Amino acid sequence: MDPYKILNVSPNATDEEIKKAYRDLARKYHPDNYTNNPLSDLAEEKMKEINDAYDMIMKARASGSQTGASSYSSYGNGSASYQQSYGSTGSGQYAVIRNLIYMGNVERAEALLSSIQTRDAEWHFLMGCVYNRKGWFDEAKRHFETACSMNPNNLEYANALRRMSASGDAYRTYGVNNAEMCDCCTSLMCMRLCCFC
Amino acid sequence: MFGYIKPLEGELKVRELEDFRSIYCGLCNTLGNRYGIFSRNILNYDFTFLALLIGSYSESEEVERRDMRCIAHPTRKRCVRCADRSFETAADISVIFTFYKLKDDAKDEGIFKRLIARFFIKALKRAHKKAASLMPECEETVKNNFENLCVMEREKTASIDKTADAFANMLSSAINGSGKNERAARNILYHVGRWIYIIDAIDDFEKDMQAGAYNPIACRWNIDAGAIPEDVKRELDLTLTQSVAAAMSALELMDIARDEDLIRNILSLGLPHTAKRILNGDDGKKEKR
Repeated sequence: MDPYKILNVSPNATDEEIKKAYRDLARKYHPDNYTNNPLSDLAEEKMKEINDAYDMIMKARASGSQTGASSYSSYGNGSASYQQSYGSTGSGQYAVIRNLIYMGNVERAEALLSSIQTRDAEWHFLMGCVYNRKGWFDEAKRHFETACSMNPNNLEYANALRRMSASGDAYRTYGVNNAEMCDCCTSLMCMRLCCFC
Repeated sequence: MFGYIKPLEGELKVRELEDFRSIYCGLCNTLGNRYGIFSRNILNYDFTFLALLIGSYSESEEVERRDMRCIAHPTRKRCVRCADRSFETAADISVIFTFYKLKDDAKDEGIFKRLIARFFIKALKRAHKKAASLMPECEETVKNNFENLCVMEREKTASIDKTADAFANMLSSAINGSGKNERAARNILYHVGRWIYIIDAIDDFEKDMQAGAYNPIACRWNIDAGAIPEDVKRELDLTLTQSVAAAMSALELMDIARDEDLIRNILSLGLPHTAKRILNGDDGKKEKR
């Protein structure tokens, strides 16, 4: 494994260049971009690879030049923060469903949700999460909207809906005649940032 | 229903455009060699994308090209990418897909179209039999999902996602395997499939309204006649963008050996461009190939 290749930099690159390459990649594969995504485990793997490569280079350079390069605190894998956001509220059945969604078992989560008769705001929010993961973005938005209208004071629901609607604004930035055209991948990635719930 | 997935040519390098054309010709050639000259008719951009995507991770970086003449362009030789496994897979799937699409057309389009569809079904029957025996799983998925789609259309399902899901499943059945690249590529095809289904519904909207036919957008937003209102267009725009963004983030996870920039162009520029054109009601039919 060549750590320079992973970070896509030349072995002669300066520490600053490496740091920048690392930061760019870390931003791209950050777990937040793949929340509620069936490929999140692949993104985590990639993130680990990048972290390891960066640590390896920095360690090698520190011991080689004896300058004691300040070790850049690498991005964590973020799992802890997920658990927080997924396990914070909800009771009984809903807590189970939240956990199922977090674990990626959306089929089971959907089946459980379908069996619940009283459909309150939390129900619609969780259903929105299930649909979002499946790539059913219109249904997801619909359910987030219902959740918000049933409980306008809930920040979690409002955030999910806001993120969903925000990606529409980002779209305008990559119109065909736009000068920022080459930056479209970045804007798509930012959009992806906005898509998770 | 086909022909929407293509690059934004103005943003491609000359070399990349040549690559794209050579893949298009390569698939055409593979279809001809595998399924007889008639099957070349089913070629389109969407299937070209399939060959491109499958080949990008499963084949080696080096490609072989040849200059060839063909029936459609007898005067000038074209650069054709030589067939590898990815072309064969894409050709098999194209045949299966087109066969069921035609069966679907034969059921509900106008009389003239119905007759043409019947003729094509007869002509493709033998090719389909061969393709189905080569890709039994794909055959099964495509068949079942076209049936599901048919039922949902009859029931006038008021959801664009439920109906698009059937179509997206068909497209993603093109890729088997549980490796990293296969999973990501399957995910891309799911999102692209959803995108195609919705774009097609937008493109056919006015025609469906006039014919009184089922249109998922009309049912989802309760529209009885006329064109798609502006606020619904904005919703559609948003939801299509989300599919593109999801496909792009899946692409980031793949280890791609060749044609990466071409795939990026198609997903991040080609699709939004086509979506914009069709949402704005420009006549795109002429550009379809």
